[in-house]
Amino acid sequence: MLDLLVGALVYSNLLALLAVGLSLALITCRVSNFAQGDFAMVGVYAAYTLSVIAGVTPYAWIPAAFAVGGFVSLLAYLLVFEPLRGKADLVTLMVVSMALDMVIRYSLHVYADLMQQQFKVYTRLFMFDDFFVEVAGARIPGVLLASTAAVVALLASLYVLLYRTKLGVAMRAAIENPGLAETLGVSVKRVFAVSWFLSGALAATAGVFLPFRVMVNPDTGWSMLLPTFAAVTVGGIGSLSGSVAGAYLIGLSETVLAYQLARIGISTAYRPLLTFTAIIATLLASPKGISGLWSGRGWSLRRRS
Amino acid sequence: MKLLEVRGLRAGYGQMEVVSDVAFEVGDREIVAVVGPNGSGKSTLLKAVFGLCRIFSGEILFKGEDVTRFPPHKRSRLGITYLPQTGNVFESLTVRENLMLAAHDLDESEAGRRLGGVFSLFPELEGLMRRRVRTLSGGERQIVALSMSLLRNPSLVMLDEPTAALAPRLVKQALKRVVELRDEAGVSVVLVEQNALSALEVSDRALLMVSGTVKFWGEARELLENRELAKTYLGL
Repeated sequence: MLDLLVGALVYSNLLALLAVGLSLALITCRVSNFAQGDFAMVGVYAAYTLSVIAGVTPYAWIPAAFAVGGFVSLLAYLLVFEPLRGKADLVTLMVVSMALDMVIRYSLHVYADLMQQQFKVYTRLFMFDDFFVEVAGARIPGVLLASTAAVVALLASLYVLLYRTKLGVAMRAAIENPGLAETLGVSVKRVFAVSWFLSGALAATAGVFLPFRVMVNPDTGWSMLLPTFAAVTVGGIGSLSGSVAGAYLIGLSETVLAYQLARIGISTAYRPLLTFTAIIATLLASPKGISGLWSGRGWSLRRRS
Repeated sequence: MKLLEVRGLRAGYGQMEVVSDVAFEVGDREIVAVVGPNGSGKSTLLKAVFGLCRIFSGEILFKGEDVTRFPPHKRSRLGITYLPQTGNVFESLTVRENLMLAAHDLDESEAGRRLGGVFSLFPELEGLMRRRVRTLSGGERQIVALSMSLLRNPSLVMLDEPTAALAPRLVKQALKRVVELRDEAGVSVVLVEQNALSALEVSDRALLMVSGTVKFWGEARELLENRELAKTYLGL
């Protein structure tokens, strides 16, 4: 039971970071970014590479993974999405992001081959070694503590950035109405570049925790994409606070429902059936997602339509 | 002295040309009204001067510098501000945050000095600082929008139908504010207005646009006195 709870919480933590990152891409450039999972894998391979070179736990390389993932996402914005901003429709942007997904994913495959040749280590279907902490007789895995700490620290920092700094006011303004922000001398390109850096950085940080629970390869990011989109949709598209709430709703319900399926002898491979039924039910009850319940208050960034 | 000079401007959206061969100028401390029937390209003209739509040909000179290809934020930094007809404030932000954004590239003492100037022009603003803009009335929003413009310390303010969201009894008051911008804040104004009579009464010069081209350019009083143009195109 403890392992179930730990699994659910870790999974939800990862989804929260990925979903907030995806929301940042959505509310800035209106991109349903299919490459979001790949940014997570960039984080995995960045931390893995540095860990192999230095012989230190991948946890030590979370800041580096944050920076590398952010940098790759920033490049994607500057080279692909900024030139298309205001010119391409939503479907075109989505298709472009699918193409970007393929480019990053297969680049990671090439990188994995090179890394294997260079360092003589497994670069596919590998896992990271974790540490455990004894709490009241229970063995708590380090990934739960580290991922929870990362979620709290990163989301709190993001909140402070958005609501307590000049840059944050400019970001919120540019998200709500980029044209008006530009008329006031705000460089929307620069502000969106910061958002995209953060989007990739949050995903890459989530990625570092993934191999502590499951075996990964360059395609693993793709499998995280559907629940991430589900979290953003259930939370309310474009709402950061909704994305966090959606991530925990999806993460916890998916794990618990999978456990219930297993108990009655049904394969857990069918768990998306229950999860996505839950999504439809949530959206029928609240079409704007669960953030529709508190829209306009607190941490709810939305773009003018 | 010419503050803004527009020569042979052709502009629009995508492949569509909305304004053709437009030429006009704005001097120091001058109000220029841009009037004309619906769909005559008045708003597009302002957007073109601010760099928000496609310019096919022509020149826009500001303080003698060619700004035709400058992005909007660069024009803003040179001293041009533009207030769109709608969406001219950030509704999810507080009044304080809106003003803070308008002054984002100033140091604190300069921002404080300019804010003092704005408060003296619009004393009611001080009581609204903590309110979210979405909770304000149409008139209050216009004051916030104008204040944001003034914090940029502009030489030229371009207003796209500033009275559109206002109750009829507030229209005269809003146009009085426009005159105060010229007389007290010392800025020039380009004023796009549907309410042609009120706009021409407070303006120095006027541009009459019809189907994207200039039908009249000259003294505002002269246009008011031109019975034929005023009756045919402005319904006066």
